Amino acid sequence: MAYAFGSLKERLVGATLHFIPDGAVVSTVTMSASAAPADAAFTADYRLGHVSNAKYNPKTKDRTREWALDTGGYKERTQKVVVEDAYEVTVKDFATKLFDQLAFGLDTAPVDNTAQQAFKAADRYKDGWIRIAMIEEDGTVSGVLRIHVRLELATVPEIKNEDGSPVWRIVHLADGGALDLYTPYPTPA
Amino acid sequence: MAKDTATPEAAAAAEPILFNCTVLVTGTTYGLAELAAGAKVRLPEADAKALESLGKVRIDGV
Repeated sequence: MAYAFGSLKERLVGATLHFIPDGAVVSTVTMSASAAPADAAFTADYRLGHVSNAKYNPKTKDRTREWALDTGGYKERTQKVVVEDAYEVTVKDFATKLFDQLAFGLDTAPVDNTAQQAFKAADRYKDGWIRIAMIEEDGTVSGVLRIHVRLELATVPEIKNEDGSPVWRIVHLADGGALDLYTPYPTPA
Repeated sequence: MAKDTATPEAAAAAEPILFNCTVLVTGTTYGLAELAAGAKVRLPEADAKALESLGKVRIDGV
C-alpha cells in the first residue's frame, strides 16, 4: 500500500531519536549487540531530540571488472558495494548528557556538581541501540527503526546566542543481526 | 527462634541468586530486553528456570 504522504522527507524529518548505550541495564539485562531494548525501554531519559535534517551518506567501494568480448570490443562493469550504512542526522536544539560527554571528551556521563577531566576520552563515539521513530503530522507513528549503531558527533554547534543544532553521525554496525529491526505501521488514509 | 529463621531469609531476599544463562533462541524477550541467540545474561532463578523449560535459554551455572 502506498503511503498517504508519498514524500520521504516526512518520514525521516520529524522523527524522534532515542539512544541507549551498550552497558545500560534494562530489566536487569546489560545491553550489548546481542541484547536489545524493546520499544518501551526507550524512555525520555534516552532521548536525543527531533530530527530536522537527515542525510543518508553510505561509504561505498567500487569493484570493477573488465573483459574483452568474443565479438570484439571491451567491457567494463563496476559494482558499488556498500561497506558502511551511515546517516548524518541534524537534530533540533536539544541538550543531553550524551552530547556533553562526547563534546567535552568525558570518560563517563556527566553528573551534577562532579568535576571530570575534560578531553580525556580517546573514543569520541558511543556504541548502542538507536531508535528512530518516524512520526506523521497527526502524531501517528509510521515506522520504527531500531538498530545497533556507532553514534558520534559529526558537528558540534558553535556556542553562541542562538539555537544550536548538533549533527550526529549514525553508522550501522551490523553486529545486531536479527535484532536490527524496521517496523512499519499503517498510515491513516 | 522465629527471629533466627527469619534473618537468613531476609538476607537471601536482599540478594537474589542470579543464574548465568546463554540465550538459545533469537527474539527471546525478558522484561524490556530482546535477546539474540548467544547472548549471556544473568537472570533470577525463577525466570531462568521458566525460560529454560521453554527451551529459550541454557543455564550455565550460578
